[in-house]
Amino acid sequence: MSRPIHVALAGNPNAGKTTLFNYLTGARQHVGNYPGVTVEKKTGVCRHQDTELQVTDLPGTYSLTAYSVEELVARDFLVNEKPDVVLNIVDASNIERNLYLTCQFMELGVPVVIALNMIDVARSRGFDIDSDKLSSLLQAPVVPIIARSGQGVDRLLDTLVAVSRDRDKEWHPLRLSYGEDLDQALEDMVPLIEESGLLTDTYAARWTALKILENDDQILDRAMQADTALADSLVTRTEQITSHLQSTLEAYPEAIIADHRYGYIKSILRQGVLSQRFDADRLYTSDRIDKVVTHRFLGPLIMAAVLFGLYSFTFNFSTIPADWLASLFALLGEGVERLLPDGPVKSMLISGVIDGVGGVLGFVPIIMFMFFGIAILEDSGYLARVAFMMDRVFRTFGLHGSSVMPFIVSGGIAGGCAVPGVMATRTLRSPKERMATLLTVPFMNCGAKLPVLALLIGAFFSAHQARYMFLATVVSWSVALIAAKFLRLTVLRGPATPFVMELPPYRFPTFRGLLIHTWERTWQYIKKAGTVILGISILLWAMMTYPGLPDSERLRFEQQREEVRVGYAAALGIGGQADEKRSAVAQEMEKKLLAIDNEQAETGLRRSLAGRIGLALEPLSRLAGFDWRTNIALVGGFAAKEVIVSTLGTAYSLGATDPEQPSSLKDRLAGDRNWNAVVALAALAFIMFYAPCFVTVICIAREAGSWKWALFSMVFNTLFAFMMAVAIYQIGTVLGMG
Amino acid sequence: MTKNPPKFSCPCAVSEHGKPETTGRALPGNATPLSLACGRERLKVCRINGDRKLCARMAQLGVLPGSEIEMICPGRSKQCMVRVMGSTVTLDPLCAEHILVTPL
Repeated sequence: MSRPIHVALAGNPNAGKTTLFNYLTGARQHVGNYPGVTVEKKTGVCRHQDTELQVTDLPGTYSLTAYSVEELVARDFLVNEKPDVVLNIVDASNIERNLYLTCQFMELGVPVVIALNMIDVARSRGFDIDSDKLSSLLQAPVVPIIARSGQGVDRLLDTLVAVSRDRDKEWHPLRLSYGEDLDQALEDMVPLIEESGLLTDTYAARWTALKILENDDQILDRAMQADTALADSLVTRTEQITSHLQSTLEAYPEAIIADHRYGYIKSILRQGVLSQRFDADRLYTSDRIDKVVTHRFLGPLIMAAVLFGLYSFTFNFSTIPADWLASLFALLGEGVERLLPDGPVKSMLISGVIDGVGGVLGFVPIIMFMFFGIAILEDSGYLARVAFMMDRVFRTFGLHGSSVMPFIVSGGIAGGCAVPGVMATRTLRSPKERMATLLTVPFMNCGAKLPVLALLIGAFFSAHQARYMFLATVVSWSVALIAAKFLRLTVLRGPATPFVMELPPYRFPTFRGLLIHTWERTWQYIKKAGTVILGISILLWAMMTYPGLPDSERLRFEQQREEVRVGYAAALGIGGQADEKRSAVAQEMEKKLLAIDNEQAETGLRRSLAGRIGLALEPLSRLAGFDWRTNIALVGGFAAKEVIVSTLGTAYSLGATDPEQPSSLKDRLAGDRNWNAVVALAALAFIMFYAPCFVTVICIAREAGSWKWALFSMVFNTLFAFMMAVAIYQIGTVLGMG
Repeated sequence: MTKNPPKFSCPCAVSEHGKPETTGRALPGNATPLSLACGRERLKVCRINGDRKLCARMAQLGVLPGSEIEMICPGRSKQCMVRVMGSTVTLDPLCAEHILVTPL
């Protein structure tokens, strides 16, 4: 087989890159993070005839100038990794804007193959595109495709293979004219850069000069580091031309450059490439929908209805498979109970693994349905409208429009993760707005909190699960926004910065795409349960089991059992009694023995390492209604929030329960004397808002550049959550709601 | 690195889309900030004020002096939604107040 071809998949956001990537790579894709950046890239493998194509899906960008993290990531990948070919996805229905990025790929010189996607949408909007003519004018292959259906993809792959085989290793940058003044400036700067070799190992000299003229922060920093004297002189030249352009055209060089790029694109499109069959002025369907869906008054109502619908869908349809799964784990526990002899291995398997990890895995159906619903919202384009509508609210609370996505990523609709949410705050340019976002995104209901919320809501408010889940979402957003306002009015005071966002058009999601998104996220959850959560569950089981009871205590319980057996031996041994009466006596004896077993288990748990921690915290936690066993779970939750479920599972299986009649954790909690609806509400509030998990804390420290903020996040959140839980418990108890 | 680079000069860029459109020193009398435009469907951008980063970002999106934009959801001093070059773009009041427009 021939050597693999490295393909970088690049294009504007919403141009259909992910759809094409999924079509090409299918289930073989995997997600990986670029080190040190927020933006996710995906890599996958696709085979075409006898050739392997390694496809890297770059973040969606509008340009290759360092205005955003996405642009930096895409640019750095191209210049550092030097892919064999860039597969540029161009949205045919929005060709002029999309070719702006194409133009910059060509200025960089990287070999480009253009996939003219959504050609069907363009036709429906009355656009006719002559792809052959476009190809000949751009001097790059252009292949019309429909990524959703796969139409034209085979021809695209043929073209990719041919281009990567035929081309030489040199990059051939396109030379555009940017007007007399800027062309002259480039002519002055390029020889200086070439002479000194400033960054020429990475970028072409003309491209470096162009980026300096465009005031590109990253290139300016690199140039300063490489050769300060030359960089200073180039900056001085740039300042001269900027001042001249400001006085004559009232424009900065980058605006003039963008204008000429668009001019170049227009000149190509007007040479018979693009023609429009009917009225260009009509509103597209997406715009018509937006007039209603994002309406100032109707929009929020529709949004609330959609979210409530999502939760109703999740809980209504996931209950049955969730019950099946719970029964499966209960049966598994019963089987192990019967098969294995008593001892630490059996205890670890039942209490640590099955009750711990099983408790977490039992929520897979709920997670799966929730992710499926979110995938529909995401793929249809509605989630971007949620961001648009929330921007109005965010501004009031001192946050930025770009803060909305980190909130949603962190679990704004429930089911995200605070780690990528914290990292996504890098898209914010203002340090104070970024810090306020960074510190408040952990208040969202991430995927790890979801099973805990589902457990407590299912146990105590089973009649109104969707309503309580919706309420939890509203409360999490409210608390996060109030906290952000507090921070912006106190320690993070500063001006607001502008926000611009492009909205994708509404589209019907493909079933295949929905399944891929759902499975990808659900698999992450299952994998975490089978690795990290399993490890932590076993560790916590050990902490809840050891050092165990001293021999004298064990002997005391054994003596009590013996006394019970002796006391009933006479009654059971008397002949002539009816079988029914004998059976009743035997049951009574079993009950007493079971009570002793439970007392022994609870005493053992109390004396264990984890039990001692839980008991030490109990005088304080009782104010919020939490007993020592709940304390163990809450402390364990700092490792990962799912651990709360697994630890409660372990704690309540080691404690007062009947191993002969295994029941679900939900039932055990609902039947426990230390739990009631008020305690559950207090626990829900505490779990939603207390210290983020340790991975998030590390991430906050790294992103904030200081442990001070990470510590602040832990202490502030825990104190706030505890005060809220105490208030709920005390008021609820006084009102007799428990 | 560069081997026989293709050179394009673009008359359209200079004569039609370049200088004449950006030399807008004298603003039309009916120019208003986009943030105050309400209900006007199609508008022409006549100037972009604000800091350098904002101007660059707008230029990248195709919001340049002389370009046409279509109002989808007017902001009325809040954020607005416009169509620029076939894309739907949302602008917050801080951006919108720096874009001066006239009705088409």
